[in-house]
Amino acid sequence: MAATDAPAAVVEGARRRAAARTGDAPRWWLLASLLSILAAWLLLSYLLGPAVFPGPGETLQFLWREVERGRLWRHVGATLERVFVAFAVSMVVGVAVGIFMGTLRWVERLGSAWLLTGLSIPRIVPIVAAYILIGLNDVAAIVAIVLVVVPTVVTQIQEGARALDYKLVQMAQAFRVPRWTVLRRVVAPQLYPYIAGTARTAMSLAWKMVVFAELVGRSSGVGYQISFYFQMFDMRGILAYGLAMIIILAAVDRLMMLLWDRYAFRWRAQGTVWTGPASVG
Amino acid sequence: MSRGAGIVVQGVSKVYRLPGGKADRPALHDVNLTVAPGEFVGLLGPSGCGKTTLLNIISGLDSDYSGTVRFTAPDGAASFRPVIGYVFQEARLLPWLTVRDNLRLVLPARGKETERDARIEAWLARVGLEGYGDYFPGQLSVGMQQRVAVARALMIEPDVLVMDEPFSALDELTALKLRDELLALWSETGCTVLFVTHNPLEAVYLADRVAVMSPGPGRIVGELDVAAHVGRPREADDPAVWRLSRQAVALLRSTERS
Repeated sequence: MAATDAPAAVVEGARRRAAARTGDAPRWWLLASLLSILAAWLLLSYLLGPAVFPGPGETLQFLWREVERGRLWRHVGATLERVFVAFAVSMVVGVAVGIFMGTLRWVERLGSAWLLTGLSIPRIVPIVAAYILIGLNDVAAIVAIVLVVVPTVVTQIQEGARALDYKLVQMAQAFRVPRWTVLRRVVAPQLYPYIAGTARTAMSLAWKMVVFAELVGRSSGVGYQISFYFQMFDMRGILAYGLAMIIILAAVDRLMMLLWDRYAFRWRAQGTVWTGPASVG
Repeated sequence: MSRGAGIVVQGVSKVYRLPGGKADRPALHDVNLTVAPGEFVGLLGPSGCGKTTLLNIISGLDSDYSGTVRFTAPDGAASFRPVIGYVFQEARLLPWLTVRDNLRLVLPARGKETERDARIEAWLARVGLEGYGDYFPGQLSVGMQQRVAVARALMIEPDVLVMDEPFSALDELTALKLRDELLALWSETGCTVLFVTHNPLEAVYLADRVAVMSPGPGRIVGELDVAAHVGRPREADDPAVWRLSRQAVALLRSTERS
């Protein structure tokens, strides 16, 4: 007997909703938004004078000179390295702790005060403390950044672990699916939306903290360059490095979104059954 | 391939312990039920009488109970661990896997992969879903999803098939079709079926025997021997089916406490 009840309308509706979400209209608005920033920058530079607040032209010129001198990549590279190490460590630790806190009640109770402390401590404190306790080196900087980023990751992953659909786990158990396969095929996919959402937050937080840590106690990286040009009172350097960071972070963020969308769109945009948590994404 | 294990449930009771340990809620009270190998037994009872709890105990998902559950092999072997297929009320397919991968998930990794894939395709065809292997569950209607769930449960060649109100979320027309398809598949495979429902007509139409449960804490208050009165194949509007279904309703009514 043929199954005649193919829900073509359902699929079509989902496609239209997806198109409305990623369609052309937002792209124009993004362009308009970028142009308005550029206009504000030009206006500010015109009002204050290019010596005090250089415009986009002077800043790009300066940026190019840093490229020619080979400084830009050295410092941006150093920062990127720290960011990725800190990000990776924070995600691994945060996801693991978050899953335990979301599924085991005693871990949640034990960890609640840690979490509260971690979330409310002024972010400069772990940085300065790590420099004093460990020394003025990269290990200290990364330890401090991980300490700042992990609580944020934990809270979001914990929420995902709490929302796990145990009916699907029970189904897998009824069919005697091996434990490892259950974890990989049934549990993990339910956490992916939360991990993807958390990754964006963690990346941008790690980024800001690295610059901060470099400014306080490293002799390389974007944060160090910004503090150097601050001492020289050269606004062009500060803006140039700031601009470079914004462009790279935006590119990394887009890339992460793209990778996630490519994975999720396959079933999620068309799905009518389990569309994932609504709060993240 | 006449497989099918017998089921012997003796004096099974179950209490749900609530946090704090104060108000324990009894779910099952001294349940006794014997199912012969290859038999199709309907378990009929009102909502909340512990039907699902009993299924979970029989299928091994719940081991916190008193009493005994035994299985007898078709050849009479003593300690026997049957393969159990489970169809839930909702299809419980993984939305991020295609239909084919959903089926692949529950197939034990034995034998050649090409053989397993061939088995999946064959079962998709048997439930009328040929060519739907690459679809995601979200692209299928509820009825089609439940067909996949039936294929998933039967594909593992179960000795016992347990079904927990599998058609209650479907429209009646689809449910009618799926009931007949189920009966056809059952007669082909010969597995033992334990079918939970709150629909007396459905229970009588499908089962050889219907066990009626009381409201919670559930126990079995009576049985109807359908096979003795109605042969197969059956007609949904057979007067005998209607008569037995009225008897089932009377049994259900007699247990009401108000």
